[in-house]
Amino acid sequence: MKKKLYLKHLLNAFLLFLFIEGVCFAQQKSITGTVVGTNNEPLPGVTVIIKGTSQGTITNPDGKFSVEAGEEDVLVFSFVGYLTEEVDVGTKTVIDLAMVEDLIGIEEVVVVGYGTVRKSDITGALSSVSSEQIRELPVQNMNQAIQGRAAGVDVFSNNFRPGEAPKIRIRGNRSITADNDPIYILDGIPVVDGINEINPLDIESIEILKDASAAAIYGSVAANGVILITTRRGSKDAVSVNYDVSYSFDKEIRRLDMMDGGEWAEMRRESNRSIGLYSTEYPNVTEDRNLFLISMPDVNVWESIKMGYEWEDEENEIVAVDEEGIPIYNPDNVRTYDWQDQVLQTGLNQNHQLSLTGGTENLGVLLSVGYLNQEGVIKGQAYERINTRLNVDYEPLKWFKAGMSNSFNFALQDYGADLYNKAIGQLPVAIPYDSLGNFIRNPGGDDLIKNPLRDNEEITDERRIMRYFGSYYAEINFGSFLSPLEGLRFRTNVGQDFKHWRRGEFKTAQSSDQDGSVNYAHYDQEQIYTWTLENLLYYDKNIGIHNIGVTLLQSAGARRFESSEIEVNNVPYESQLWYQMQTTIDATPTNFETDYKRRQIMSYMGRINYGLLDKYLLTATLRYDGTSIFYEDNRWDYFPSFALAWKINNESFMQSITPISQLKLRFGYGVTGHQGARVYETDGSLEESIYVFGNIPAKGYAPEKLATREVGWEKTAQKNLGLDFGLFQNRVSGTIDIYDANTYDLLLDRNLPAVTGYNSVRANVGKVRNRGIEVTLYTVNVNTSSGFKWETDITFAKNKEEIVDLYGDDQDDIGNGWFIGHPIASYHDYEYDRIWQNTPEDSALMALYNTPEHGGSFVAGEIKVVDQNGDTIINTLDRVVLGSNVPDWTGGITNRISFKGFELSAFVYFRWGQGIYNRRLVPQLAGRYPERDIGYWTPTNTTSKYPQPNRFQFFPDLGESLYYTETSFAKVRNITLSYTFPQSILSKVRVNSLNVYVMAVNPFLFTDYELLDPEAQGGYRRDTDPNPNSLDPRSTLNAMSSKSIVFGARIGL
Amino acid sequence: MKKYLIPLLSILVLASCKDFLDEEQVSVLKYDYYETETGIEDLIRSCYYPLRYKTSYEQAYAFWNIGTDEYMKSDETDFYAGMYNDYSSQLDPEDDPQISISGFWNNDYNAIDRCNVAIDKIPRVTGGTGFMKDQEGKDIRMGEARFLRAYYYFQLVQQFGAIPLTLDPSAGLELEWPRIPVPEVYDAIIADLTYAAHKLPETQSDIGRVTANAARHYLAKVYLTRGSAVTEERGQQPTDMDSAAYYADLCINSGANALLPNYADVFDIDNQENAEIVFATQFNTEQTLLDGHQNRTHLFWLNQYDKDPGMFRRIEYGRPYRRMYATDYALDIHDRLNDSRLRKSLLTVFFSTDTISTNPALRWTKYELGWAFHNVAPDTSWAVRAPGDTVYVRKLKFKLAPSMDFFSLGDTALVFLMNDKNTTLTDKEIIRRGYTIYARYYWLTDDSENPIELLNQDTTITVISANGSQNTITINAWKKGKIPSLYKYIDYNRSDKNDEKGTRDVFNARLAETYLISAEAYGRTGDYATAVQRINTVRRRAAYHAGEEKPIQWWKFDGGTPGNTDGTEAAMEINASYWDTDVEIENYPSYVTSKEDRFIHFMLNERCRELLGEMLRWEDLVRVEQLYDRCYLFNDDIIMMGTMRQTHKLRPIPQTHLDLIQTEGRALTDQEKIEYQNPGY
Repeated sequence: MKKKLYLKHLLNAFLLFLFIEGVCFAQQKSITGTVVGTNNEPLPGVTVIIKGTSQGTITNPDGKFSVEAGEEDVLVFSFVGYLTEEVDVGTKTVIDLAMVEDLIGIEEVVVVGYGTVRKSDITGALSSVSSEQIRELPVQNMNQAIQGRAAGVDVFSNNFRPGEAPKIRIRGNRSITADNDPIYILDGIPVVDGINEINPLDIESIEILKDASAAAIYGSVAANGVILITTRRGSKDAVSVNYDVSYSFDKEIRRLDMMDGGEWAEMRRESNRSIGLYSTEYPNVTEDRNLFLISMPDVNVWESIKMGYEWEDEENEIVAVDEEGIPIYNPDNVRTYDWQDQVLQTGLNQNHQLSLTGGTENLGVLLSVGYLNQEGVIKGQAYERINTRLNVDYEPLKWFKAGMSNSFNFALQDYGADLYNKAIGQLPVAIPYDSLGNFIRNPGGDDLIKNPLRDNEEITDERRIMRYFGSYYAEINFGSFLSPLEGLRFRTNVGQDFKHWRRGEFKTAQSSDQDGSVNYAHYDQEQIYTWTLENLLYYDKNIGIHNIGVTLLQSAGARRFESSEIEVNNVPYESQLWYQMQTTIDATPTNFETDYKRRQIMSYMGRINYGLLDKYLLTATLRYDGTSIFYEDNRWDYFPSFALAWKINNESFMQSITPISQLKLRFGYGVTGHQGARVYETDGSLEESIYVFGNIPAKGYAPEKLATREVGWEKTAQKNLGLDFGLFQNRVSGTIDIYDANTYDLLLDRNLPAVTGYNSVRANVGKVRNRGIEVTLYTVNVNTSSGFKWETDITFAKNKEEIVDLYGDDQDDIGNGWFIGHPIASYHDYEYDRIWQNTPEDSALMALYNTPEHGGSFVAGEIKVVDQNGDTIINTLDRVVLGSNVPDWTGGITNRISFKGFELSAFVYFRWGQGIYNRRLVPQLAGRYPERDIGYWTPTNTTSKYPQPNRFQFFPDLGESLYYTETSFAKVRNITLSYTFPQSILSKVRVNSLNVYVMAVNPFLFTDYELLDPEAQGGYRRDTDPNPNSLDPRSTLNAMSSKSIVFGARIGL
Repeated sequence: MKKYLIPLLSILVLASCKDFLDEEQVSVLKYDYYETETGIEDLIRSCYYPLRYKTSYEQAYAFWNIGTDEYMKSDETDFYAGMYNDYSSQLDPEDDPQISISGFWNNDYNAIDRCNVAIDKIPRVTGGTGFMKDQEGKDIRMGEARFLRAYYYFQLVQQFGAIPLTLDPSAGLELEWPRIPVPEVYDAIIADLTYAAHKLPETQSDIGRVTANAARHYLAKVYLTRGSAVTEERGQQPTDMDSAAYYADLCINSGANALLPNYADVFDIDNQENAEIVFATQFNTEQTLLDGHQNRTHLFWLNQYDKDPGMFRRIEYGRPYRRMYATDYALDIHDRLNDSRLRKSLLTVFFSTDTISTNPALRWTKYELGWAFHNVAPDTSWAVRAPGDTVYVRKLKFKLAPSMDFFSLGDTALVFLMNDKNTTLTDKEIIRRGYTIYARYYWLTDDSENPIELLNQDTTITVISANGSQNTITINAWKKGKIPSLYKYIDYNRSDKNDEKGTRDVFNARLAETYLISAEAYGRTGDYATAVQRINTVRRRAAYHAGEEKPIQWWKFDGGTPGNTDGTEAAMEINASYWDTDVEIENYPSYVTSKEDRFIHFMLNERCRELLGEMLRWEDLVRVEQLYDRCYLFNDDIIMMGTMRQTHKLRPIPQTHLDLIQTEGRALTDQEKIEYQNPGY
């Protein structure tokens, strides 16, 4: 404490010194004035500086300032978001100024790797998302905030469970077997283990380096693009306190439309009728009794079915009949139990953030605390997160500054049980509790259908994450004390990222998973510590018309991972969860393991920025990276890049073309890398093999993977041509980029014939190409003097992804589902044609297939697929690439209408022409399990696209032809109405700013997709893995997207 | 901060040193581990693990037992392995059926590579201090590795025919793999097994390690298999039968193994390491050692007992996957009066499990499980309960339907009547029983209980109750899903009634089979006298022994008399004239007319009787080139489907193999793939 006080005195003394110095050298007169903004609101915090000096002041909360200046001086007024103005002092003593808003912030400074540049000087392809855009939606994580905001950055959720973040793909997928996630750079430090714990409200700006010329300065980690995140810093303004709060009420966006009791019962009858095991076209009691009582030993099912009949004598099961002797039956009267209702809920979601910024001339501090509490729309799912942040920048000396960003984050996720998936797996004619209120463990009497309704209490799956991010810097400006060294700076950055992840899972004996046997406990934890150290030397110099910047970097870093996991059955007290596993009655765990991985990286990088006449710009970089994960001969590699830009609007011939306010042409080329390999691969590995001799454990070690000493980096060479433009005083502005990225030396698990003893070997083979166009457009459609303003943001991106080569032999890899000329995740299967009909034509056609040689056994009512080669044999030669999960294009439109403090905005996100490959699209029509409410073929309903139910076909024959569907969607992500209270009212209650809003999140979804949210079901479960066996629709069904009503406020004090 | 900065900066100083980027492989073992004796011991142990693949999923029955004259589909088989019974178009390498062909192929070649590495490394062990400290130890381990390699190749060659053959450790990117003719594969197998038979010891201190007898048994079996070829070219030699008999007799006479006195004891879960077992894949109850490939055989041969009144699923009766349905042939070739094996193999009586309490009284002994009617007095339970009585089924109240009854724990609740056409009940007798009956045959009768028609399928009859109301009742016959369970794999040492991870050893070879191999080899050389000796040894053991309690169904349906405890050994014996004429119970196909053929088909029958459901049948029928003919005689599903062809005696080569291999440095053309593939696929 004492130390702090001392520091404060020192600071005050220092400030005083500066002030006195100012008084001494500034002469003549005192100038006062008021600075106002667009709506004549006073602008506090505007910097007023005498040109060519560091002397000046800032405006007070009323926008007033006072400064000493001479008649020859020029005052420079600058403020973020406004055009900088210069005013000659002359004879004036009062200078009132109305500043003009800088519509697209051309002069904004933009963060690029290892530094910042003026936005107009950018040479690469880069998208920015501002803190204002982040705040437009109540997002839980950073990735959500980017969706639809940055062209060419595809953000898609495959999991809407609270606490889960969507995935990001920048300009398509490149790597076939490694991940395609971009690298995040948080306050200058690379972060490799996800960014989900960062509070988006702490973010000042996000910059996405899309092309290689920009990203290549990150070399071997940059192939998938780079996302730079800058957190808010303390300003040197007066202290301000801000409080953001929102409450949200969430409901599921869609639910599956399942067959009701009557429909399902009829499907079960039909599945027997179609194979001659149900004799009447209408329901009859005798056979129903067999179907719904004898073979479904749950009397409640029979009770439900009996409700469909009209009874003569229910006691003795004598049914009423009509005049033709047909039982009187109404399927609508069959009891239907709505299982989905029981597992869904309205989730309450609250988000608070309190932040404090402030500082003095040489000290800036930001302190913030955030709290998020989210309930899922499926019972048992929840997420809670606490963020704290302290960012400090301190400049004690003219030539030295240092600072840090610290954030500590705690998150608690209740993952929830497999509730929704199991609920829709329940028979509509079954009920969860019998008439006495007893829980029915197997509703419907089917051993494989287990009642999940208590699972949100019986199953606990809790994940805790504690994460600390810290980055620290110190910088020496040599020019400040040695003028020949003007422009030379040395900076050291240190970063730390510590993540502790823990999963505790407990299932009681009574849970549906354990099914009355014994309880189950599982404990799993991972610790990851990553550090980075960077030494940087900068040299910036203007020599006449030449503008030179040089950056040199040397860095090193390491990531260390360790984990442990244990599973036991049968602990004595269920209340102890996973915390006392040693007490298990079974005496031994069923599974236990620990693991450790470490990798290191070192880099050298040099960059030159050169500007000529503020018209011609050149950036060139060369990076040299080494990693521990490759064998020493292949450890080091170069990643070069360059970019050229031409600021056409600064040419003299452009000055007369007034409609064009900005025009810049850019071209860049670069090579980036990807550490696609895993640790410890180069020398081959052995795997544990279990066995017993009698009762004696006989573990051994078998060869697992072949040594891969030859492999090196995956590389991407990318060309980018871009145009930035602003028209009509930037009423219309935007960016267009086209690019061509070729990824080569892909690290593939090259499949081997199993005869070798191995399934695959790692090798650098294969090429993938991504080409595309991206457009970002911003328009001010209306801007009246009365203050009515309508703005539109548009993003559009189209990417073509294709595998160019796999193993050098121009052959597809059918086994892995990789096809040359198609995207990585392509779906290869039979093409659905129609249903075989009971017509003479079809009978004749079927006869051609149904010969012993041709092996067909088709009957009317079954699926007919396209016989691609027309040989009347349906076999795998008839499978074709149906499509891929890559959308044709994605885009977003935001419209904002503002008037006198009111703002109405809406954001629509588009994803067009994506393929979905999902097993759920194929109905199970064997009459055993529930099914979506779809029609199906019967002899009297021949137009359905689904086959006839068949008890003997657990899965419809050739049903895989229905796995694939192509779909598009437009999602209105939000409609927001907000009101900013005018200063005139606020000043009376001593509030600086107050904004309140009400928002509908995801109010509308337009799609023809049949299941839940098409955004989540793109088959991305394992990134690019097209193998249908690894597509687990349950994961997405259990993580439903929601629509919400949000109420919120932002208060500044 | 300082705390971190200093070590970090010091690392920076080291940056120019190469070590900073060196990987220290703390958590991973590398290939150089095999340069040590412990490494090779670990490698050899890992050569045993792939043995477990055979029973780890539904391939257990799909590749080895279904689609034969012995077993066909049950009511749930079509969901998984129906194509392996029907040989339908779904048995398609390009689709790789749910019971994966490539999974089997990959497993065995991976196993072979493990063996190849071991065979390559064992001679290089120097300075061993453990088991391989001397040449003898090395030879034994070499014998194990060579036995296992031969075992895996023998599995492959019987299923796929000509196959790629590699006897060296993998060099990684090898892509040219022509098919090696069957005779060469057999030569390699015989070379390995001969080495093993001579180097391996009679016993090993580790239970489950290969012994000399295991090598002798398989060497005999390989010779028998090669020599059984009729039209096929397996490289058969005139001396094959002599060699088979020689090694089988060595195995029998070594004294390392012996037949157990009682057939049922062989499958006693509490005595799995019994003297009769020559070679078994090892499992035990330790959960952490049951990962990966598991023994799931306990699932497949069970009936749906748990859906009948009074029956809950219990660990003692198993989790019924209902995949396997015995053919009439397999049930009817037994002399059930004298031969105890069928009744000891099948579980026909189920006691009520209608409780959720764990009553130790319900842990049956092997005899009760396999065999008895036991605690129900024969005729007292023929009483009729009145409709309207309250019964409890699955804890829910039911009004008594006439076919349902109330059960106490342990009451007889479910009975499968294993009768034949001559020993039957009437429909009315079945109704009057107090428990559920599934009868193989029964008589439909009129109101006076005069027989109308002999039935072997369900029928619905109308009965008039005491109160005059009419009720329809279904009389149950055996049908898919409703047949006796096979006792041999039942496993109540699993962790839970639904646990799929079985704990029993899988018996790959037991001495009774060695006797039958020896018998067949002698018979095929014309030495029927010795063949009869071997056969009668097995058959005498199969008889009821004096003093042995016989089941109720034995005197009810098999022609026995109540209370009789005489031995039947004498009646089980045959002599060399047995094959001079057709014997009705042997049910020879009509094309079997010579003594030689009768002998071969008799051996198939005897193997079926002795080895029912032991996953040997498919290979037996392929061995004698009788798969097609006998399936079309005895497998009703195959007869009905009509999709089986002669070429189905070989499995398809996995499509992934065809897609990945090369010839002349390029991938195979479609035509070359067809030529490489087995015919008919």
